Amino acid sequence: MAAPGLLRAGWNRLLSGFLWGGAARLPARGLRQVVEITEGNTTVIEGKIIEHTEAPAPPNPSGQCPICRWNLKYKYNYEDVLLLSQFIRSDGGMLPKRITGLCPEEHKKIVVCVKMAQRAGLLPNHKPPLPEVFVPKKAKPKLNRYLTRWSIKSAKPIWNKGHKWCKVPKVVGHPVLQDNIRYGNKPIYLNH
Amino acid sequence: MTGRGTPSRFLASVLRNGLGRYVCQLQRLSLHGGDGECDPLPSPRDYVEEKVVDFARYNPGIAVYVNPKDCQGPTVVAEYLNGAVREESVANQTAEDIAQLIGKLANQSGLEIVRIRKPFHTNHPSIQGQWHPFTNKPSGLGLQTLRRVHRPGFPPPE
Amino acid sequence: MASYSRAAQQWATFARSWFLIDGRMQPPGKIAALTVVRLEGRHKPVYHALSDCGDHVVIINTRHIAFSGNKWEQKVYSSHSGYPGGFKQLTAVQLHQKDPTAIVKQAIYGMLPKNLHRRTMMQRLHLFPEDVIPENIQKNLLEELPQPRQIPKRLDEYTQEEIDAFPRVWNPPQDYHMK
Repeated sequence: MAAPGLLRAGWNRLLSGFLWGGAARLPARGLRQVVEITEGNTTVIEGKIIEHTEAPAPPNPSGQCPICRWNLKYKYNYEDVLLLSQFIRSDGGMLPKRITGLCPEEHKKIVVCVKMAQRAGLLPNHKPPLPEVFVPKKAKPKLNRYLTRWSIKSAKPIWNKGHKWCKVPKVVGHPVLQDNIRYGNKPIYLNH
Repeated sequence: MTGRGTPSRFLASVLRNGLGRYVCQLQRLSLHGGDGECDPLPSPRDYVEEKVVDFARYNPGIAVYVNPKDCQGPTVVAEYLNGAVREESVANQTAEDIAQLIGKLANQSGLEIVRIRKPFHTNHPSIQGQWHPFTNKPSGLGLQTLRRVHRPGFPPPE
Repeated sequence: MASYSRAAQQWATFARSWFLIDGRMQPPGKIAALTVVRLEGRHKPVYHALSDCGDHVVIINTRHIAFSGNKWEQKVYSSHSGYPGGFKQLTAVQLHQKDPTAIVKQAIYGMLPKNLHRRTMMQRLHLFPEDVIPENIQKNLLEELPQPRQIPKRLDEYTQEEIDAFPRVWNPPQDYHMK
């Protein structure tokens, strides 16, 4: 899956003719923001390029994906919202990995982390827009949760929890993230 | 030997004040009997002839009485400052044995020799006082940590 | 001997102090582990199991506790009334709607030692669904215990300076229309 993305990235780099230090680094990029200006009868829709300030050089420029380049592999979790918010759209969906340049492994982990962060309510403003005619129903009580692996609708109650020696596990967290660096000697318990 | 059946006491000094200069607790020493002149067996008479004068001279705080009256048998009676009286039989003992016994009696405190329950004792169990919930805690505890709850009578949290 | 009486000191030794725990965004099991130590008095150097030296614990915001994983839906609380057909099963969500203090209470009750002191120690536990406490309990409070779980910051709680200080790990292509 990574081949077209890599090809495209290389093509872009060749086109722009920008090779920085000979290292495999994506060229400088910008971001367009749609701005609507309405003056009387005329509406001007303009795609403005947002100028990004030059980011400080990553510590490992030879890395293949942004995570490796910043030495962040195995070092992020669902709580690192500032990192995760760079890989999602404003409605909370993921950006494709051919755009972000993430390798499939890291992309999968980012997806897991973003899902857990959204279920934990850490990304409150990244939500799909409400429909035009929106009638709010009765407010549901907000239940705080974290490290939620399965979607809330799909989880079913465990009516029969099994015997003491073979209990039905309740999964906490995601096994993709179990290789993360632990600061301390406490093991990660995935089954509660 | 069962611990519950035998007499016992706690470790204590004589004056129960912990500190003080040395006071010889043996006050009076009486030697009774021992006038058998031709007795081939050893008797306190040898001790009286050889050593008792030296003992009395080296221990001026002890009143030494020698009573040659023949009674039940030769005995040594030691009376202590706290009122305790110990009577030891010295029949058939040589002068060296009696000297050793009297030296032991002179060094004792007069407290009864029984099992001591604990090998340590103090009148002041703790200098800093017993533990209570505020030991090693900062003063003004309720005011410092209870920011979350507004308490009546105290200034509101910032 | 000291010239003062030591009786007052001994009363202070066995005095009961009142602790406050904020249950907001905390898992009930971790709150319970923290609470059971105080209820039993195991945090005291004078602890003895028979000396009844437990403290009072006040837990506020039990309505806003957090469960890890999918336990809100998966966890089931079972009870039996003793009568035929009296077996009841409620999920954590249903139990929480019924009584917002029940989950924390159940977790603490299960962690206490199973002896005759258990009901006595539970009487020294005061649970409140919100942070409103009666006046007489507020006056007794001594210390607030630190929360066992560190609450992660939401994205909207970061200031603009913190967001700007975080480096952009990748830059989008020039012609990409960001939704």
